[in-house]
Amino acid sequence: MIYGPLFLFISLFALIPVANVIANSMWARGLTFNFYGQSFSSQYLNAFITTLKVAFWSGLIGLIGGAVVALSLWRSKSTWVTTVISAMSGVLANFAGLPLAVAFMVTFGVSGLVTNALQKFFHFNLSQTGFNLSSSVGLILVYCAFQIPLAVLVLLPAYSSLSEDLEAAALSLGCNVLEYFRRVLIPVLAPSFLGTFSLLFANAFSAYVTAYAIAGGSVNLIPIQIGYLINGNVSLNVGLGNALAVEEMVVLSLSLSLFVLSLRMRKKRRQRVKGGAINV
Amino acid sequence: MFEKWIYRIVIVLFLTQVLVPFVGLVQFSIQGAGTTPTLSSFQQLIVNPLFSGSLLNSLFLALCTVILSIGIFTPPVWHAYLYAPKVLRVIEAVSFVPFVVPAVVLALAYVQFFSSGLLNLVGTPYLLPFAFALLGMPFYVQVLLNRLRHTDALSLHEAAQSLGATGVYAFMKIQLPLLRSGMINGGLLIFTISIGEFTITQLTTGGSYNTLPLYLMIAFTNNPLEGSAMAVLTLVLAVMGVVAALFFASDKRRRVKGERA
Repeated sequence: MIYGPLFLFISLFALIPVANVIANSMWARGLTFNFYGQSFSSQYLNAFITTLKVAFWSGLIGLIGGAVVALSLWRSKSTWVTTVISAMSGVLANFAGLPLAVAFMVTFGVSGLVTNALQKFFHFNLSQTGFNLSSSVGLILVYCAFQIPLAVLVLLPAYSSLSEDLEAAALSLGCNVLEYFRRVLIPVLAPSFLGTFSLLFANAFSAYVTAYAIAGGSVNLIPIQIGYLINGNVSLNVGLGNALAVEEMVVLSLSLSLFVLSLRMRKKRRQRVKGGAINV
Repeated sequence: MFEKWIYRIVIVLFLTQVLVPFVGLVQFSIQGAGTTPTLSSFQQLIVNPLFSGSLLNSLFLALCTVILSIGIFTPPVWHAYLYAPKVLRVIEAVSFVPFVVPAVVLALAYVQFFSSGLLNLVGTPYLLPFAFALLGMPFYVQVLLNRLRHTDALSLHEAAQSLGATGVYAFMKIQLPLLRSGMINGGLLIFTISIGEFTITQLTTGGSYNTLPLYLMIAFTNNPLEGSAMAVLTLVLAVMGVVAALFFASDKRRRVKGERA
């Protein structure tokens, strides 16, 4: 009884509408895979590849950046800096969307802060280099503004769960700090890195608002194409939209499974070294 | 020593990377036609009835979503945590639906499902509180579970009932106050999500219901100055939300210590 409203809510506003999308993606007066065929035709296939590329690179840069920043915070052992930066990262990671897009557009715009500063101090004209925010490279740059803070948030607890004994042991066995990072820290934290990457990847793969505001029609992405199909900017083809949506959900499920797998790996490692000095 | 400096440089670079766009935004929003900074774009915004209308709409929607979420998520999560761990696992699993079904896909699903018959809700704002509640569900459920894990809810509930309280009375008088900080924290998260939601609002209402993010998009396209002033205001709102959440989080910690002692 107490669960009734919750499960009614979930069914009505999530499960049934989504099941409807999946069903309609392969049903039009009979079973058909035409919509999937269309979804792999040139324009939409390109969108798929571009989305994968943007998600992969922004995920990878976000992971590396976030890992280095979180490492620096952890090693500098300053609690107040860590508190301030995690609070800031919390705001930035969750506050992507429109304000961030607007901030980038005006900062890199014709009379924006970065454009002016480059011109003034380096006599470097940004617009003449052909740099454009509404391109895949521009989008990756913008995505990094929320991907790196998100990675910092996710990785900080992973670093602080590392036991100090691990470093002491490595150093006493003759490692220097860099070797300790390369041969102990990175392998030990590999599952966390993998999990973080899959989170960032999924995050970028499903991002709509930022891409819509910054690139609009000039970068061909799957979420944008779905949005166009809903808005009817293209001749309305619901079946095709459904097929694209199903493909998007498949990719997101895969990266979520990767995340769950990374949690399992971390648990396994923890069990393997239980009782030892290594507290992963 | 050398190592420490590398870390400091990395942190400063990170701060520069994340702060430059926002410094640029603020600088742009206060730059007037001349060389002296001015707040005129903010003034224009405040007297604009379209802006105040969208602000009111957004606040109203967010408030509805918070009440709805607290109402439908709190009792089942609490009950499942205490008495039905298996149901709790199901609730946790379905709460992650928004991670697999992103906002665009949800919008596409709603546009098809709610377009006919009894539930003909596309084009109206009535769908939005439910959609926002769904988007905020994973966060709300986790915050509430965190709160539950820090309390001894089960023995308090049993104690109240053994002293003669009915289950409902004990829930209202003991459990709800116990969960208050979790509900406030989770509610703040839901509030922030609702205030900033753009995708589903735009795609399911077709722009017929003006909210803060929708108006931000229009304002920025028409007049970048006004749009950037609005982005600054939205950011201030978000930072205030996070500060409030941090404030309640520290309050929670203190109270938990008191309970343990």
